[in-house]
Amino acid sequence: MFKQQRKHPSRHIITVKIALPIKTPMELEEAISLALDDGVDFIEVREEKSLHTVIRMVDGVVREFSSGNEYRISVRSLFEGGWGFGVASSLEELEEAVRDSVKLAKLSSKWSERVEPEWPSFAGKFETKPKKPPWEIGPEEKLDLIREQDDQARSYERVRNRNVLYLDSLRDVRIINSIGTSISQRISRVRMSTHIYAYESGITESAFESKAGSGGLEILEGLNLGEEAAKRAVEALAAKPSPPGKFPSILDPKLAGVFIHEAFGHAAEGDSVLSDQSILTGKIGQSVGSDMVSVVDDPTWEGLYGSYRYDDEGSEAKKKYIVKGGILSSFMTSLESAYRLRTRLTGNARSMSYDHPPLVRMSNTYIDRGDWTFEEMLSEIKEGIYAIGAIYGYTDPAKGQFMFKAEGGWLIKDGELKERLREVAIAGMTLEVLHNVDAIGKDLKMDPGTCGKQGQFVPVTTGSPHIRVKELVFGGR
Amino acid sequence: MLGEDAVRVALAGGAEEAEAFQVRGRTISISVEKGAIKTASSIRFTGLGVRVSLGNKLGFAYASNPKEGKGVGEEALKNARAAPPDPDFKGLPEPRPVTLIEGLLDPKIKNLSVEEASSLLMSAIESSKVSPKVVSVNGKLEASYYEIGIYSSKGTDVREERTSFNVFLEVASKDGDRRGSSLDFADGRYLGHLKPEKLGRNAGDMAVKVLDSTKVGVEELPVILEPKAQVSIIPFLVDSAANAENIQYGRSFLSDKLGKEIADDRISIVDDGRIPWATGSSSFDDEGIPTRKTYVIEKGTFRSPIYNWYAAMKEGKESTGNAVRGYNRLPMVGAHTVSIEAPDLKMSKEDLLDVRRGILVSFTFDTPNLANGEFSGLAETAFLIENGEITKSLRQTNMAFTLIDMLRSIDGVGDDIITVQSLRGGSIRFKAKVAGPG
Repeated sequence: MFKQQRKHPSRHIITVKIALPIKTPMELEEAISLALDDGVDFIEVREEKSLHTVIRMVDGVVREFSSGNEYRISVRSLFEGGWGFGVASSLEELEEAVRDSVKLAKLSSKWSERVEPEWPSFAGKFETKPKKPPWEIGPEEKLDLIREQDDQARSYERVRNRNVLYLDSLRDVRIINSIGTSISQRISRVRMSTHIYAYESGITESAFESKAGSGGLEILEGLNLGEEAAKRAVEALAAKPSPPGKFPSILDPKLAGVFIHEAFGHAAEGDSVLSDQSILTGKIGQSVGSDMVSVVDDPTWEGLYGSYRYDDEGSEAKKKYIVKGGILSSFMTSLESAYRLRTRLTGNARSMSYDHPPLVRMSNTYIDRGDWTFEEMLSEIKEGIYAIGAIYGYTDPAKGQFMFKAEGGWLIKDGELKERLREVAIAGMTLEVLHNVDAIGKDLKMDPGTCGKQGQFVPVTTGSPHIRVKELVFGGR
Repeated sequence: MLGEDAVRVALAGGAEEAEAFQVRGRTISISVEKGAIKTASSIRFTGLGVRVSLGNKLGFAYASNPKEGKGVGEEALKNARAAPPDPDFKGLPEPRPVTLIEGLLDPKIKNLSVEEASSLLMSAIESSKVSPKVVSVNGKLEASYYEIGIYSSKGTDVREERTSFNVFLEVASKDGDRRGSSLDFADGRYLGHLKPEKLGRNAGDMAVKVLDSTKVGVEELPVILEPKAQVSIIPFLVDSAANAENIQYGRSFLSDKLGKEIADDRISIVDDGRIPWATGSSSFDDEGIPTRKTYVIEKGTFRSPIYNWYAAMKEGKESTGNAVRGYNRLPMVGAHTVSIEAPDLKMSKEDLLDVRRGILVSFTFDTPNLANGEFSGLAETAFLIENGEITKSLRQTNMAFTLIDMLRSIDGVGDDIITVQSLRGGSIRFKAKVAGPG
């Protein structure tokens, strides 16, 4: 069960100058020869150093001011289809980690299907170039950005609790493997979020806003996350429970983005397809939605939270249409899943950190623009629900059943927004819903998030314009 | 000793107080994809987190696998200098006498080989293939041995070795055009409690059962939540809703309910950190404070939140031993193992199912809303009950209720007690609104 939650990565810090110990290729390359001598079919070495900052302010008080640094080298070996994974905490331990991974790969191979490493190799270097690198900026400037968001929320009456979280990270990775890949990549990411609670006459409501990207502090300047979240939390105090049942509905870009990520994107991940855990197995070239639906995954979109140039197997990242005009056109793949599915390598292998082997993951995933305006969509609905914001969602990719939680909504009557609704649960069968999409807006918006799969959380972006669905099941209360 | 070094360096640099939290251990992890082992890994880890205070300014720094504690101690001190003051920070925890408990360290897990771990998982995987309709099985097993040590300038000096395991299975099924899936999971600190064949069979049986499904409309029905469907709901009452920090900041729907009746007076809800072999158990919490049993709801009345040191000091109270953290985080407040005590409502599972029409929920992954205590989510694996018999699987069924309505309407607690994640308990029955796809 794959679950996405608006979880905040827990490891972050304030640090100014720390030299990043990028080792010379020779030392890592010795590990490659060592494993090949031991008879493995493939070996990959990933050296990773990361720096993190977290500052958390609650009701104007800094509750957490922390910094951290992490360094490891992970080694992954393939032997007759079985993978072994070992981790070294320093170059001195590298040899042991290599031997571990080889031993483990041989052990796994007893129960594995063979795979030949007939894969392309990549070489190159990539670095995000932040205008304001977080590691060169002192704590005061970061605190000012946080206070600005806190002040915005404080100015709202009925706001009871204000939470502002600032995170920055610098992840420096070097990957080499036995088929010639040698890449290095340094990505700086920043994130600011607000979670605001409002209270009146025994009722408490909350709203969440966030902004994140790859780059520096320039991404977090001039934001109004405090104001936006406070406004919505206060507005929700007067909201009514949603009526349960089936309604024509409009999903706002945030919610539609989470929907396409959770309900559809996970099913298009090559490992889900291979393991028969996907409703999309065997459906390439077939219709999976209304012909106005196109879905894209694009890690190369510069500056977004889920962006990268090379994935965590060192493969070059590619923009691809998963769905074009309603037809399933591509899966997202890693080295192994591309080989097993006999399909294109898309550079979607990602790992949360050094102690996890890469899995097939999304990057920046969105429903492409249509040509409707929100007003046009609204005007044609007699009675329905406009659902807004996403708290979390999850999906069962094998059954094609999804559930997601919207922060709230509006009751639509005769083409107008009539009444504000509280948090609602929406459930459905993914492909039915995609076939029922009958309008897509022009207003594509991208929203950062953190996606969890098998215990690994990675930064992603989900996006969409407003979309209209002929009918959706609402849980109500 | 890394921790002691870090504390010494911070004090020498001018810190008033310093505390080191250190963890080191090993995790074996086996993952299976489509019935075959995909990856085996064995990872040793060390992590150090250091809190340093200067008056009411607090700084924190951490590192994975540091070679020495010095750098981390210095970094934490630097952060304390840069941090604005926190008027509610009243100092790092004072030491409290700790009595060690049994049932935290299983030598079998400590000495587990990757081969043994693989055999256990493969036996669960093989057992799940109960029918040709089972088309694919994925799974993961993790087993960890680790030692936690906390050392501070206030005199805290505790350490403890613990073990844990968790297993997760995901089974996909197919019958003609119909597809289904189910799952099962188990965890604990003692490997002997893992019954891989039973776990596998159950996941397989369930995946086949869900192929034959029906749907309900919008109805108010008795809902029976099996223990594994409660793991995101009942512990939430303590872990999040009765979390002192959430109460103090007014984030929780229980914020103004202390001392008030919020449940049927036959119901108590307790958090217990000292149950042998439960994943949530330990002799002391992550600040070195001894764990205990806390009555959060006692005979229907909201009696006590759970506290870590910071939240307790803010109210001039004693910590309940509920600090939780990783080496890379400051301590938060969290539950150990939560259970419902309701001897007057106890009944057999059979009696619990004896309703004219209702739904039995095996799994849900939704959590209630902290601010208003409302639950609205998907009954991920659920079955229709008609005249006391489980008839068909239900698809796409939402259920909605408030936690307080649930606590007031529970009319049966089953004797099918298990311990899983932060929960210890049997099935529960109450009324809720359910909405199928129509």
